[in-house]
Amino acid sequence: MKPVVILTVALAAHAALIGAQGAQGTGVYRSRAEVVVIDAAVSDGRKPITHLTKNDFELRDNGVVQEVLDFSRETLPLDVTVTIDISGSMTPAKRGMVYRAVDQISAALKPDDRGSVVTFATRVIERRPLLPPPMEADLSPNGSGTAVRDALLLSLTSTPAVDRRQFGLFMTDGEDTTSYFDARTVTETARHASGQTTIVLVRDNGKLKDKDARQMFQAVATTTGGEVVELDRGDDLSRAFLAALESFRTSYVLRYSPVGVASPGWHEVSVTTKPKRYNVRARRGYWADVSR
Amino acid sequence: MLFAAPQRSGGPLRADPVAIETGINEVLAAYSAGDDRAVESWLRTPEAGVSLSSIERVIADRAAPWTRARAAFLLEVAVGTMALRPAEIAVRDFAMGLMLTRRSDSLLLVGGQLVAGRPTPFGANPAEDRFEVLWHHAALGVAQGMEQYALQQRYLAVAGPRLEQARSGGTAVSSRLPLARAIAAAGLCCWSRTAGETIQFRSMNAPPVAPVTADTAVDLFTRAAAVPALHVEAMIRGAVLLSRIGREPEALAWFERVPPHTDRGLGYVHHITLARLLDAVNRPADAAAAYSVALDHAPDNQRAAIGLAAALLRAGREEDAARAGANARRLPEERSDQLRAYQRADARFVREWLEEIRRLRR
Repeated sequence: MKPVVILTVALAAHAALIGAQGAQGTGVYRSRAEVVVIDAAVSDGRKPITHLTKNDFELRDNGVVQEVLDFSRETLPLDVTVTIDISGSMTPAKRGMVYRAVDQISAALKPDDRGSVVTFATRVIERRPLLPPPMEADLSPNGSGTAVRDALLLSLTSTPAVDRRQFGLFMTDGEDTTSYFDARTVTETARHASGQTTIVLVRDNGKLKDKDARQMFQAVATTTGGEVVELDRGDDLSRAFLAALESFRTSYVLRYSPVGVASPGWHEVSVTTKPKRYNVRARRGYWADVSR
Repeated sequence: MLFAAPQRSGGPLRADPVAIETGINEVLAAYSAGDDRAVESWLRTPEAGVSLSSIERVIADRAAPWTRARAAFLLEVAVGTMALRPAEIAVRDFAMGLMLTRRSDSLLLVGGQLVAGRPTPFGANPAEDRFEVLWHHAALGVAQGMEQYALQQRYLAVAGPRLEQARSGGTAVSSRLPLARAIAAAGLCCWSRTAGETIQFRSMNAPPVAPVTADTAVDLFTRAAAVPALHVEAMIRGAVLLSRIGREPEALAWFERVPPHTDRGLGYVHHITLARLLDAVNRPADAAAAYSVALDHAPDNQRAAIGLAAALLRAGREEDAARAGANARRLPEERSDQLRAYQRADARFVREWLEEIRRLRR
């Protein structure tokens, strides 16, 4: 069978540049010894590929092959933020489904992991701060509008942490009615985000027709190394959440110090596997030295 | 409730024209005698529900003598009607929104003609002049509060020539009409049904207003900005219009010419719009500074807080962005929607103007 390859390269400490000295604490540190950290999930069809070694990866930064300095899997604890659309278009049945899915995510977290729950309708509200499991949150309705873009934009501004990996699950039906910000602002901001975002589109009345929204979701997911998962009526939300979390948890973490590429600016990153080319789902790049 | 069902314990109210006229005249007498709350209280009764469509006929009766109280009465009813704005009603009841728009349309236009037809010319009685100018301002404020741009334009066709007459007769009248013209034109040229904006109702018995171009609206803001008392607001509103119609470089240039000001509502819209423009031209650090000022003007505003967090992130200030993002997620419910208040323009002054009109009616 022809292998289908999915490699996820997520910039773990978000393609952030991490100074060697700073790696002991949380936060992003910058020094001359810049290290870029990338999450990479690899699969063959739907089957995760978990046996690779450092030498099986080829990583390019702005087209220049880089040496992978460090390589690991499943060692760092996770910060998981679940952002949920609770607007008027969410029926009680859908809400019940969401409660169950959050419970499942909570059960799947390890003691060192942390979870947070954010909801949105007209406004975005933190229902549970980032804390160790179990995750419990009130998902009662609040407001009749749906500010999808505003909520997605805000979800991209999570706290960077050197010793943790950040994962965002963003669930919506995709029908925006009240956002202030446009799709361009959201997709541009995604290029600067530290975590990986997977978007779960829950649709029970056909595919999302809004082309701009669809492109925005795709851009945010692929830029951050996540994916867009579309669920139809009757599909299992809990399963989709768990699969996305598992894919992130089991992804490879690659570290490298960029050599031979100019900084600052946008760095295009590509990750492939060799000799066999599996599917790689990867973050597209990172911004370097924006503030300097 | 303004339009209470016409029911009471003794059975349904009948639309008896004589009883209705007597009832309206009784309320007018109480109001004329100094009872400021007479109209407001009456509007909450079932009788008002069946009398509303007769108010103009009774109050603006050409045979009745001109009094300021009579004219003020019509304005009181229009303001009371605004308490149930189509902006909010339309969401759940289109028919009610349309009915209220038609009522306000008629009340304002009939009232405007009544006040414009006063026997004393401009310049003869300063109190009467002031009363008329306030009436026109408040009427436009009501129409702006309803966000019905055709209605604003129709009212300007009543008030505009009056103030021109005053000016050509040698009476200096300070008014907000130049700005009101620009606001109506901006709504007519460039209104689009986006989140938070009102359905534009068309009164069936009102003539259609002429189409307006964006260039005309911009030109009207330029003219309004030439009036010193209107300069700041006209510059901000003009820049916001330019930004909305995609003329970003011009919008930025207009914002650069806005002098320092302390108006919180305008300040919020000024800076959040400026911030988005700066975002669009890839100046995230400047955008963050502008979002921050918007947030100073409206500390509970989540839009500004989200914009600030995102701009900080794009400016490479990850930790500041994370802090700003956490703040945005934890903000309490906003006490009032500043963007909505901005869209409703002079509606913010109507209560104040009505108070002065009440004093002058006696």
